[in-house]
Amino acid sequence: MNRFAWLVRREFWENRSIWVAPAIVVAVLLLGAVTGNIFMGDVVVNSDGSSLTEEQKAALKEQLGKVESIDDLDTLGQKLDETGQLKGVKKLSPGEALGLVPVEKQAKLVTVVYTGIAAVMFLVLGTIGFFYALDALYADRRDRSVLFWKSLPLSDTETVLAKFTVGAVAIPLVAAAAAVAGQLVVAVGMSLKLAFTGGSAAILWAPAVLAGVAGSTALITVASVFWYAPMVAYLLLASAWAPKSPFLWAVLPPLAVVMLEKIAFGTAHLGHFLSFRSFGVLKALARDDSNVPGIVIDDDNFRGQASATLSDHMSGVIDLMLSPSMLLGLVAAVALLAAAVWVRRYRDETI
Amino acid sequence: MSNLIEASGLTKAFGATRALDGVSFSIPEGRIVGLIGPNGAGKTTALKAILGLTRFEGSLTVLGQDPYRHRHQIMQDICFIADVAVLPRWIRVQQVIDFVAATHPRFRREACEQFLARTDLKRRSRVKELSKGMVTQLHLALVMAIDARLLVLDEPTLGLDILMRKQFYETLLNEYFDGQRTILVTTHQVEEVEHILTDLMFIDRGRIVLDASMEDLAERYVQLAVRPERVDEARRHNPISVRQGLGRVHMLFADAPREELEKLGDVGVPSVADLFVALMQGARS
Repeated sequence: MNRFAWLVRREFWENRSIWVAPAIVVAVLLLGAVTGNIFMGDVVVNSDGSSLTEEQKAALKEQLGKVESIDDLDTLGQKLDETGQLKGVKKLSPGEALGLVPVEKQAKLVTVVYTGIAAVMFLVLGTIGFFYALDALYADRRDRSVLFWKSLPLSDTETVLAKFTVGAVAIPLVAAAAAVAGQLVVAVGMSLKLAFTGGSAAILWAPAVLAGVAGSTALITVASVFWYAPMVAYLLLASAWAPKSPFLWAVLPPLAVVMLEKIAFGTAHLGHFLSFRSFGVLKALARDDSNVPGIVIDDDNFRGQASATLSDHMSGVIDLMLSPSMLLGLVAAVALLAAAVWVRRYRDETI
Repeated sequence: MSNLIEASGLTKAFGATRALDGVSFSIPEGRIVGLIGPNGAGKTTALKAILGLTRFEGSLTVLGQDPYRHRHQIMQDICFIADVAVLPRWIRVQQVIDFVAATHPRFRREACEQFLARTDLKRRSRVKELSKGMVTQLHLALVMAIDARLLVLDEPTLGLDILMRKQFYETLLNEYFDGQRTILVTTHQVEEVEHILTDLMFIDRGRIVLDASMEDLAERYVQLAVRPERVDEARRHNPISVRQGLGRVHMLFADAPREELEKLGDVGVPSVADLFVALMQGARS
């Protein structure tokens, strides 16, 4: 293993949350899969298989509110028949419910679940990556161990590049790996559930669905690496520079400029720009105004998005990657990294 | 032998105060040099300049290079321990050994293992779980396994108990120093290092007050314990310090005729601590 690989490895030793946090999320999903109840519940529909109206749902909620213990749930079906408004409804097991949905909608539903899991992983690791980069060149100055690292024949360029690689590349890759692990766990869990409730799990393993999800996860990973590179470099610079509290040094100056702009010109260009740089991939995924695919899998949700397909969402990400902003961001990343290396190298350390 | 470090007119100012004020000195290879001075004298600034950690004026070469501009290259041949607290707290004993072994071309793992075998350090322990003494042992094990030409120690025994301090310097002298390596050490605890040093430098207010080898010191400086009735006679030789003792007066002389002094009382080699106090007071008055 070469020196650079060891420098990267050291970051994983120091920052265990990078792999512990996604492992916990996967463990929670696994727990759900083993106990078998969190992914899919029973569905209540009208006798003819159609969804409940808003009034029916409100009445159902009211009825559910009166349920006091788990045991009461078993008698819910009978109770539902007793209330006049909800006459003619029936309870379907997940397997039965899925069977009623046309195959292409099934695929869509499953895709939403899979991408939702990926979204959670990227959100978790995005947060971890933010704080990782903020701390990367500050923590060792705070506890003075920087003097130990600087006593080794390692250049500051190597050090900063290793930390950048972890923040900008390794963390998105961990997110992707965690997403795949989470998707597998959920797929197995849901397959078992469907098998036990008389449904077919074929759609969960349909090659078209899996290929679509794998492709989109890979695309989000690559987009995250490139889109957030300048952000990571900026945070590293703040981390190398800050005398203390790198968070405030990173966040307050741009915030102050945003407020000044608002006061002086009444505009919010910088604010929009920052929000674009911070959430660009999410916005592109959501095609701006529409909702980001969530983990909610009730009937309404997938109806609401019936018009947008996975490839629609992905085309937004591809557009983003081909945009001039992407290229300008990379140029900015190189400049910010060079500045971070310079500050790390020439900052007068206190012995 | 060639000079490992050459400084001339070395100056470093922080605003109006000059931490180093036109300092010149040279350190040949194979010496153990003590850089001694009160707080704020400029010791640490001098070390930082030598280690390429700070900008300076004047000229300074370390291993033939400008340390500030060629820091990366010279660090192949230099080791330093700033003080006991600088090993990262989160790292495990095994991890830090593996990391240094992988990144330092001159690290000899067997030497490190050999040294560690004599300690109670557990491989799985994290630095934050170790006592100060154990952290020092670990750091020393790492440094002693590196085949460096220059070892810089800045207050290496700060916060250690007296047993650990003694052990530290003994190990350093017996197992590390081979006559070719050079060691530069700063400390407050002069008494502990004086027996291992080959050279001594006193620094005060950014200036070198004394720069001499230990042999020169023994020749140049004389301590005299004289009875009170002969004090006036002794004063004629211009002592650099006079201190009242138990029934005797202790005087320090520089370049005084030894034979004359021997007639007046007991003559001996002054301790570094006494010399330090005398020269510091002299420099300041």
